Amino acid sequence: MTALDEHIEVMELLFRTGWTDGLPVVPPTRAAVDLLVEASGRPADTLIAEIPPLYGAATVEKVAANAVMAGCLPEYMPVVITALELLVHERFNVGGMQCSTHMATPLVIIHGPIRHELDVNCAGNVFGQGRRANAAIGRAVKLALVNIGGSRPGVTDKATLGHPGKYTYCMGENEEASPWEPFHVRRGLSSTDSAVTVFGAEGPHNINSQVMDSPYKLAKVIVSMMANLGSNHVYIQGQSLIVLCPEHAAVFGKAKWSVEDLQQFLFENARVPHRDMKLGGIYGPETDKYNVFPRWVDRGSDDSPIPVARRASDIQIVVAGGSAGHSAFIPGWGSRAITGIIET
Amino acid sequence: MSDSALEAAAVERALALGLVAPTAEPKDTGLTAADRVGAVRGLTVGLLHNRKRNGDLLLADIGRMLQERHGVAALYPIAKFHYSRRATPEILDELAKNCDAAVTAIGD
Repeated sequence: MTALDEHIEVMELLFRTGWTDGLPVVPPTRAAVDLLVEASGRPADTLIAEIPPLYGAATVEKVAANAVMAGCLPEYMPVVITALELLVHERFNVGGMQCSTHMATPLVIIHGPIRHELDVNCAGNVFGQGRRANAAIGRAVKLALVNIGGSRPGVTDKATLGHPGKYTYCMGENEEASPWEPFHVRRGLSSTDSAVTVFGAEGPHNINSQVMDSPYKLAKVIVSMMANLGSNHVYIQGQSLIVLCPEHAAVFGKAKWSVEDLQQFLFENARVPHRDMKLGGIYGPETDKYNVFPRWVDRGSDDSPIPVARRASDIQIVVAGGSAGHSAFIPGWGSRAITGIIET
Repeated sequence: MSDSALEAAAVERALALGLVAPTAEPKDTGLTAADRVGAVRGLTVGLLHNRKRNGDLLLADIGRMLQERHGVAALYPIAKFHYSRRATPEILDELAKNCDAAVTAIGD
């Protein structure tokens, strides 16, 4: 048997351990894991997080083992570690997400100089295949959540459908093509900081608008995607995410719209009739019994337009992608986007 | 061998080869189940609703049956803030303070 045959045998063994996501993994050898532990700059037994639902201890060594399997280079480790630290924030509620029947899974968004250092794709095909950093970092985070947290499909992960981002879901912000300050700077960090945002997310829903002669027209196309009865946000007044392609972002930039202007427009126009919410969705006829609408919404009228978020700032906007007019609407699940600095 | 036995054998083999397990043991919370109350006649029973639709209806029926058929003295209905989150320590303390036993249910 050649070394390559042995490698395939180990790969098959790893499938049988239940440690993989259904795709082949890199064997987490002691030497490979130690290399990633060293790159983290922290001792192997440092506790990064206790990951629900089983609250397994995500030590640096355990995280490194998952990162090796995902195909990570050693320098990816600080990003993976930061993402996991953010994911166990109380307001993210990763425990609920890991077990939910909903399809949501964490989206990892990378900001700042580290995007270039790690060759993170922020431009064309940003959610697609082809770039190691995006693929491996997103996969490492997900493998760690599953293997350490114990969210096994069909056992504790009760997703009805799931979505392909449950294999890997990681993007970079295209800061250079944005008319606005980077996302993490708008959240109080410095442009020289490298940072990660985690967001509990459905898959990307395409917003195809090749007509780009008016910010109002374009914003209305985005609104049409947001005002729907099938996403969680209108029922729970949670956050959602717009990934704006550079050409769409430029339409707003040229019209001197700030991010806040766009958020306000979307907030005021993306409304769902109270009457329609009673047709189905999460609560159907019992919408009023469980709703968490803002107080200013007139619950007594079926004509009331219900906002899709509690406040305009809960509509998150980030610029990414390549050329042509395709943006994406990414409905949330109910958790809050959390951003933190990557300590290297 | 069962699937779980096959999986355990594969893990054992992988570890013997020197691979590092990417998994972790479930956290030992130190929590144990409360003593069972046995008969519920004359007791106060909490009804913890997770706030999913119809969970309260199910609990109301269970409560009524507990009172009519098993002599439960009083019911103590309470609801979580949101179904996707765990019951807060405050809710658990309130149940412990006011009830001899509790039933929880999920709806949809």
